[in-house]
Amino acid sequence: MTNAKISSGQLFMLMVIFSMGTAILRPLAIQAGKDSWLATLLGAIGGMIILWVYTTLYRAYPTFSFTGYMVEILGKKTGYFFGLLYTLFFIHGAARDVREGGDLIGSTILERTPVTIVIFVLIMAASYILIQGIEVLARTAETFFFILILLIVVSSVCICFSEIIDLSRLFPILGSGWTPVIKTTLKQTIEFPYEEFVCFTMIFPHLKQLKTGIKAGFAAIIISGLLLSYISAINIVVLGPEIVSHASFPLLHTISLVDINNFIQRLDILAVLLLILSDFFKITIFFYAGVIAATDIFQIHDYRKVVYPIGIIILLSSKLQSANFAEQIQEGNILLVTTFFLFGVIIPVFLVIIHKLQLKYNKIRRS
Amino acid sequence: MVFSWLLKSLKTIDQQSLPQLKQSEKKIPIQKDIRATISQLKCKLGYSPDLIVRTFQVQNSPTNQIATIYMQGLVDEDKVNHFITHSLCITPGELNSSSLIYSKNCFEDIKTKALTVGNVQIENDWNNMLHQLLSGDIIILVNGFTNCIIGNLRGGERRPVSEPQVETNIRGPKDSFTESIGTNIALIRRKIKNPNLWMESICIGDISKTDVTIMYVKGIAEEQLIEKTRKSIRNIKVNFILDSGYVEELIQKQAYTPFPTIFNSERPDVIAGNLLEGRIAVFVDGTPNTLILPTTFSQFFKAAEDYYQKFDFSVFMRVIRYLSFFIVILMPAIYIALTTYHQEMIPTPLVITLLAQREDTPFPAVVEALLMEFIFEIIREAGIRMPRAIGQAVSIVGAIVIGQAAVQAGIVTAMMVIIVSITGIASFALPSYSLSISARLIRFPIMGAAAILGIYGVIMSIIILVAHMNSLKSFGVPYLSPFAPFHFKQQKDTIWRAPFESEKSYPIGNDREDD
Amino acid sequence: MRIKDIFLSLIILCIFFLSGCWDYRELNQIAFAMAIGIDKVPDKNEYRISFQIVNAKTIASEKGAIGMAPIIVYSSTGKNLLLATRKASKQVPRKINAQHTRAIIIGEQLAKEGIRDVVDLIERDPELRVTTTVLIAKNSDANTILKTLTPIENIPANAILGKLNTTEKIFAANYSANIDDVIRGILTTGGGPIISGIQLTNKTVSHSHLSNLQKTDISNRLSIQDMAVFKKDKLVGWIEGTKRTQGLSWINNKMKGSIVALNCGRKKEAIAIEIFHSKTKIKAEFKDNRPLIRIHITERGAVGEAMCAVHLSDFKEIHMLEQQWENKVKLEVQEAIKKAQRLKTDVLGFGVALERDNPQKWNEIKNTWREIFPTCKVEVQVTAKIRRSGQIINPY
Repeated sequence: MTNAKISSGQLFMLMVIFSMGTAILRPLAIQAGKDSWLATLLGAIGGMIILWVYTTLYRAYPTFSFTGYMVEILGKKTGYFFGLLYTLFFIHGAARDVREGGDLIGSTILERTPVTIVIFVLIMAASYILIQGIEVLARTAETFFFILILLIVVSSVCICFSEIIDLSRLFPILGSGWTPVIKTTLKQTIEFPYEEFVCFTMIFPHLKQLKTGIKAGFAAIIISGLLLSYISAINIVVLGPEIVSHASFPLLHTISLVDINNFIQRLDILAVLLLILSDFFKITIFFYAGVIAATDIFQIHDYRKVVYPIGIIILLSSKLQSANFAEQIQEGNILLVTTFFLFGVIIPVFLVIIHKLQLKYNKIRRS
Repeated sequence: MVFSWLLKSLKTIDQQSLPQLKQSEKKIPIQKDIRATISQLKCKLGYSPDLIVRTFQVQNSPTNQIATIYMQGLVDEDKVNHFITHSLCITPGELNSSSLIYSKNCFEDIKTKALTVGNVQIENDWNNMLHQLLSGDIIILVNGFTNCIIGNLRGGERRPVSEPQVETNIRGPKDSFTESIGTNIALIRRKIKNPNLWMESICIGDISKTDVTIMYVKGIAEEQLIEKTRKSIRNIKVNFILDSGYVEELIQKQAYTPFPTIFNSERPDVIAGNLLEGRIAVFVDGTPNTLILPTTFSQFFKAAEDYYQKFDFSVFMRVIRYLSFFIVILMPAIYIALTTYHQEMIPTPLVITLLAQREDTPFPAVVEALLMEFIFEIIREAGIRMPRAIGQAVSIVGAIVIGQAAVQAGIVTAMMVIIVSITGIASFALPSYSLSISARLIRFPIMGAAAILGIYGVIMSIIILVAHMNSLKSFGVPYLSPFAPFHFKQQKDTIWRAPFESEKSYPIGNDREDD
Repeated sequence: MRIKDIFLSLIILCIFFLSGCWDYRELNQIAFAMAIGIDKVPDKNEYRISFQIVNAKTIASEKGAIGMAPIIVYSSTGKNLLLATRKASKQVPRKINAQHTRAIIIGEQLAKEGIRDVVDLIERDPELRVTTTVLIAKNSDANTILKTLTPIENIPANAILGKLNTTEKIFAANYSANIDDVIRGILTTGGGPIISGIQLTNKTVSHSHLSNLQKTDISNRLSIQDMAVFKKDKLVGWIEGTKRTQGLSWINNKMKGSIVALNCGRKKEAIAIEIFHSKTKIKAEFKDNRPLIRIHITERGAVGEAMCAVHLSDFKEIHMLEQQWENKVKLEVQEAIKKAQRLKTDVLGFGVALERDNPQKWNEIKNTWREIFPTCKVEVQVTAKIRRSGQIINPY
């Protein structure tokens, strides 16, 4: 496992695609109304703080993955217990994203196909990539990163040319004051998607160079914050805050309004492509994190053996997630501030504190 | 149980081991008695009529004979007589009279005299002598000596250097390799007149004993790569090698992939260019197709002509080639996906026209697509096999009659014929035949995926395809470099071809990642 | 292990092939509806939905289709629209597919009762696109409009849209509204959407017959007429007359090109000015606790036709013409505003402007905006420039 090496550039691209994942699907930070783009930018700053926590731990234990150094810091029994919890957490995260992706495809392009088949194909593709190794995943992400950027650029150009933009919808900036912006930032944009970056703590040990890798990580957060804020702004500028808040998939709605000269129309497929690709990589990374956590906890040497079983677990648990779309979103909002917050922020902070205390204790003992 | 046996027997073409045909490795000396040697030789070769043995009497010792042995057709007939006359000091016109004196030194004398006419070696091993004889050398045996003299007079009828059959170009050198490895190597030597052009010759194929030569430019090619190539070729244990395709399959690491990981070409300028970029060329005797390794995906889109025309045109043509590749694999699939799953993505006037065409056709779009694609493949194969005399008639029958008549009879829609033809033409736009056959193969599963899951199926197949390509490595170099891992500097020669002032040859060794 | 892998994947592949394709639809299993008409059935509390299905063979002029109408209209009724649509399957030989619907026509009666429910279906259903144009059928029901055959354009839906798009660009007495605009209008505080109307002139029985198209002078024609003004989602009135509808276009920044007719001495409306560029900016502020709206219109045009003796080479004359133009525009805009204020619905974007320029004050009054709107003071300022005068300068 530690033989595979990924470069900092590849880590950067993985992180950006990951953050775009399900965030492009949903109306992000719409409680802030017209200033949702501002809330997203502020959320990026919070994200950097969260990443700083992860990188501190990485610097302390550069060759261990998260579950690895959890055992080191907390001791065997507690470490393994939490490791098991984290395995379940990663599987749950993957299943959630799988369910959302499946719902998206099922409600837009493949209506009558049972969602199970759609999800099954997704999981099979993800398993195939994981069996080949993290390097293949990184290289595939590199290949598709450029395609994603191209798609975003093409969509933006089409939107600009099609006269549906009305910049006045953004004004007045901060019309309702800072309160809704700050509230949304604290409740939503710091957590989503930055809490989910805990998966990357499982990938950090594969980096070729520590320093540039960490720099790449921070750069990725800035870029992804800018991207998400840009998409938020486009949604507002084209649709207006009222329509954004009551559409299920605002980006889809925005792109479907593009109509240049009655010839270039129906560009929904670009949006769907974007969403499938970014969701796919998010799922694969969560999947990988779960697989590595499982191999760490159960001391399995070849992680390839665990890929298919975990894949099937993800498939089954995605069906069990929630009964319908509304429940999925409501649950998601609650989970953001509870479970994800716990696993993504509180436990790592806890670990950092204990680690620092341990260092001090060792220093005192030595002197 | 039965299945595993079935699959095992289908797994590889096992060349049956024929131990009795393999020559043993130990050294057998040549007998002193020349008559015994000659009869042994004739017996070993089955009294073959093309084995020519000419014996000469020595003046002072009638019992001691000198024999010259060669295979007719493998030697240069014009030079044989000249060689014999001069090395054995025979005055032409006089009956079997050699002015040589039989003595202990006559072997040396003959050798010295032979040197003046050609390249000579001394050999004392029976197996090696046999091998050289069968390669086209002439052997001089002297009674009483266990050594023999081997003169290099290889010649015989060979195909002359002509224009390339497959990789044609408008501008640039028009010579191509032939079946003789000596000629091929010489063609490269002419283009790279550098002492650092080194080569190593290995003999593989237990029965066919084919010559394989590895060529590289010392200093540009990476040492590890050369060693790896050497090792993999030495490890080939088969009975015969008839074409570089055998070698390609045997040294390739991953067998189960539709993509070629080793490049081959019949043009010396392509090979020379690649050698100068740090790659290794593998020549196989008996075939003009020479291998180049390691190879990346972008290599298959480079045509020699890119470097001879201006760079802006080359960039344009490269973009078109990449587009053609995507057209070949994706066009029928996207057509099927759009017309059967996502009709909303087609502009309205087109939908109505397609609908009108579809009204009377009996088959579903998928069946139609597969049918037309298969028929096109049959026509293509027929085009390769048919003799030139009836070539024109068959192409008229194939293309016009089948296409036109089928549409008019209402069996297929006109749009389908258009799609299939565009796909076919696009597959001819790819400069490398190995890649175009891969593309033709890949499009069928993608069509299947499109038929089942629409555009989602196409997207998923592309993801899996790209992931598969990323997992391939050609002698340590990731298959999709320089796209992934992305090296900005190397983009100078993938889709973009930088103008020559700024281009430096970039050794590919830096990319290699060993497992 | 490899062989087992291959087998496993083969078996899994078979699952795909054996279970059939669910979303697979051949083109000839679909009936494409080019336009949809929605009406309220009088007396019953039901909706009637009509589909204008295209007959592909006649369009592509395949053999065997001579003498057939290019479209067929199917309709059915039901308590809700989706139910009515599915009921229509009893008559239509294929599944109706609304992905290529270009126009939705709503009957006047239904519009008066409220179009909110219609809009909900259109937004929710992924097949119908939000860029579909909406029209209100004036003085008739949508079914009749759909059944009318049109010359020049085979498919009447295309004809209707062609009429709307062309007149929008060169006459600007109507402009197009798609579903997105309608939704936005409904969600505007105190306002509603503005939708163009379509009318069938000189209706006779033969309007849906092919024989109608075989004359050179077709008596029953579809034409785009007036604009329907909504309060929330109910139709409250029509703005009629070229002046007021053009005024509406100006205020909503939809004037893309039109003709303004000016007087010349005693001859009324003898000079035609062709507008080729027009931009409207609305600024709002509060003065004496009453909202004051400033509308600033910038226009550029050229003299298109001069039917009297006027010295167009004299810049002073041009200046006078410009002033006349400005006054005319002001008048038309004010008339439009008066009508909208009388109907008590803010279709002019004043509320949006207020919200943008003075959000705090807006928050206070937004709940009572519908009452305050008619009391708004409006100042109209027009800057008009005549740049060119065509191929000749002075008329004969």
